Amino acid sequence: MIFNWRRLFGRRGEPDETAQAYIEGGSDPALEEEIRRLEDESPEEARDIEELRQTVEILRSVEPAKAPRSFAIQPDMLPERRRSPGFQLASIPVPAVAAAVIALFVGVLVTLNMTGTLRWGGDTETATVIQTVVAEKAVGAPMAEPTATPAAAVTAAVPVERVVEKEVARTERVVETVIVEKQVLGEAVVVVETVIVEKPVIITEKVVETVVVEKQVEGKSVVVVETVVVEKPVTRVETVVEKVVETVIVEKVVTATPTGLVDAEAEAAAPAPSPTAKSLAATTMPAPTPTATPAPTATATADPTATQAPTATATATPTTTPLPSPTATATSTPMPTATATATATSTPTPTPTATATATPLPTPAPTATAVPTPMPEPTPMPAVTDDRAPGLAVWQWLLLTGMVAIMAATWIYVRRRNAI
Amino acid sequence: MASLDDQLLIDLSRGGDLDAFNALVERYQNAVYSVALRMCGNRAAAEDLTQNTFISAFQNIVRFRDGNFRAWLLRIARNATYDYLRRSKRGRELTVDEDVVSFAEIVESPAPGPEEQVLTAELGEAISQGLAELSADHRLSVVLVDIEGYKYEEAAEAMGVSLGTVKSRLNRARRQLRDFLKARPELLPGGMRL
Repeated sequence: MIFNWRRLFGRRGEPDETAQAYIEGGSDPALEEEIRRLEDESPEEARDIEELRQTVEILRSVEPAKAPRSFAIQPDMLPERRRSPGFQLASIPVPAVAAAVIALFVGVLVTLNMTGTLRWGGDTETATVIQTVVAEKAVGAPMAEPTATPAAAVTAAVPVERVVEKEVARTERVVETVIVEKQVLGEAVVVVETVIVEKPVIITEKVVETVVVEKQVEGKSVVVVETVVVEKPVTRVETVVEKVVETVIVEKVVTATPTGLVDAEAEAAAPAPSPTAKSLAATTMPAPTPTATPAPTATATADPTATQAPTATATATPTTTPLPSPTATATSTPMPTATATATATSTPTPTPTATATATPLPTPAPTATAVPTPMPEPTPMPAVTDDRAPGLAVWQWLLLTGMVAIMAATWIYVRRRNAI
Repeated sequence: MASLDDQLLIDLSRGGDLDAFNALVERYQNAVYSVALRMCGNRAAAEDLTQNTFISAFQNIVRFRDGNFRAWLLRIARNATYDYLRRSKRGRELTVDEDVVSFAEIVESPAPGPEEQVLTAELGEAISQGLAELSADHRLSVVLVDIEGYKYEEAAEAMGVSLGTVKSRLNRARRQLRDFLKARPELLPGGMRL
């Protein structure tokens, strides 16, 4: 037998099977002969093995202990009530239970999502939500018993499913590089960090401004009021319009029939659905009162030396532009755009007079997103798509974490119980 | 009852037959007590651990599946011993009190003469101190394989580790013991110098 000492101690200095057998007192004559023959080649390792063999020999000289008494179990040693073998925790299939818990959790999430209880919090909606009812229809039976019992019509709470256009704030995520001073090992270190911040969208909009300009007309100086359009960067919350299906409970007048309660309003409006039929009590926001001041101001000054009557046109714009009313009250008056023209006329007379006439436009021009939105009825419910980044609310994270913790604790407990 | 084989006694014990289980106790109590004694080095504690091991085994015998019953018992004893060592914070040291066992009592006496008894006592003391220097895992591997003489497979089952882990722990434990005994040659009998 070729015996290699190097081979005896393999990885991590552990002896191989042959050396192990020798250390544990193996009595193979061929092995012992080989060991004696090769002791000269690796005396240190040979001595190491020999010492281990002697150590084991010493340990084996220890006599096994004998029990000093009987450890037979007496009935009174056992706890009061021995557990029934019918139900054992160890018999629980832990993976199956874990899968069931996860399935339950997912089911709860899906259900909450479908019912609208679940809120996806990935985007920020900071501004006041402005919504416009696009369409609605009654769903299900009246929620409450009629509050009065007249012969024909009663009032009942009716769930209404409606499509609303919501105006929500839009923000954008911007990558910024900031310089931060940090304390590292007691020393101030300037670190350049890249952070992602959420900022309102900065847009540029055109602003109409009125300016007073002095002009030279045929050698004469004339002061006129001019309207110019200036493009200015404005930082404000940009909004986007989304269509959302929501269910609200409204008080409706219903007609009692032998077959049940019928929406009297809907019946009355059946031949020609009227937009005003939507002015229900379920408005989510009061309509803001338009506060535009349509009174235009026009100033024209005529130079007495002028030979030709100059014509100046002044346009006054309201100082505030109220947001279009999004509520269901279709009767709100559209805000007139206060536009006025001023005409200045001058004649070359010794006593020059200037006449300025401000004439508001007779037809008020509604703003771009003014309230009178058509309300087609019935309207198929459009699919609601939410392309915002999904995220979980705090309570959902807590629920998820709690369930994972419970599963982990159950797993550890069962493992420990199995190990006894 | 004592002549029945293990499997039959285990089946009877599963049905709540205490006499059948006590037959198993009589069969394995020396093994359990010996390991507990070597691990904790205290007679009273070893007795308590042995008794608790059998009570726990009886209460949980429905969980025992086919396998080595002695290894299963030793595994329960190991868990109980580890808990005891953790509680008493004695994982690496053995306090000296009147209950602490002297290994001189359990070292084989080659001859009854007074001189041999002194040598045996010295060797027992050396082994006792050397084992106390080991960690619980290393000590258990030495106790099971080198002192109790179990095979690697049974020791692995009792320790709840793989065969390779047993060998690795055993090798390290032997080397530690060897170094300990070499550093204290005065503890060894004259004919057992390393």
